[in-house]
Amino acid sequence: MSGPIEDLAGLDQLVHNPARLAILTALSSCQSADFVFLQNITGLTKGNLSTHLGKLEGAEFVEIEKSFKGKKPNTRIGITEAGKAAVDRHWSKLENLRESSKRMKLDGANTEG
Amino acid sequence: MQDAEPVRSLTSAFNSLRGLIFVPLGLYLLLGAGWWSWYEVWEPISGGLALIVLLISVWLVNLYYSRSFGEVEDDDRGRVRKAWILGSLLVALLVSGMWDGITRPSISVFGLTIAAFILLYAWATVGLRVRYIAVCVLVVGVSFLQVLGIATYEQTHGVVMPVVLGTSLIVVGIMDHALLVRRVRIVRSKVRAQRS
Repeated sequence: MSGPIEDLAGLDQLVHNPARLAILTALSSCQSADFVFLQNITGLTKGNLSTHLGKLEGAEFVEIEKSFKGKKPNTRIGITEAGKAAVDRHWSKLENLRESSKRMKLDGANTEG
Repeated sequence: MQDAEPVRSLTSAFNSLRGLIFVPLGLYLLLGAGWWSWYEVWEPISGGLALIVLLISVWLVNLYYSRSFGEVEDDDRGRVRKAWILGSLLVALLVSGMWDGITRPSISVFGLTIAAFILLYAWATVGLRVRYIAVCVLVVGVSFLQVLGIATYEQTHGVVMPVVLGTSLIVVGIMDHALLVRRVRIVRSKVRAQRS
């Protein structure tokens, strides 16, 4: 059974970034979302968000579709199967990390007592 | 970000929390309630006029949400669930409306049907919040007005029901919108806190 340090080291840094984690978590709960929604929930600037999406697209975790609604550009983002698996795996690891930390705290308290 | 739940629940409930869409619908019901003389004065165009205003208002509200909050496409499960609820609601309202129209029962089956669907909609989308249960109780109460001798059939269906439903839609819609704003703010602040 791995300890919390090993779990921490095993986290995917591409997914672990807070903004990218929020993006992937949101996208795993819907079919797709547009750029404005993701910008709203992350609080990122357009440039920053585009950069993060570019990284996720490069890793084939998301698919980006650009179109026009009338004259306004519309960008829709959907998560891929690989992206869904990655973010689910990540949250599972974080949960294991939390449990390991709790166990360590309890063990430490018992030892001191 | 410590927890996936705030992001997941915001995203999956996003389309259902766009509550301002209920406001034009609530106003439409209020305008059409039988106690306004404008409706009769402007007949036969009053119905069509009110419907046009409703459609334009709903389009404007959708535009506001799209530009300010963005758009989320529900996953297949969410879409199918909403389609079932909406489809069943339309059929049930049609049948119960016809039933009440023909049999004129002392307890409004139409009202009870609406109350049941309010609960079903809330359970399936935003959760059984107190405001939805309160609206459900109000509508059930209105359904019993005739049998309690408080109102006639015409007063119940023509005035009280549209006024109660219209007002409830407006209030609940505004509250759902406020909840959407709050949840977006919470998620954004959590992500920002983790980034700094």
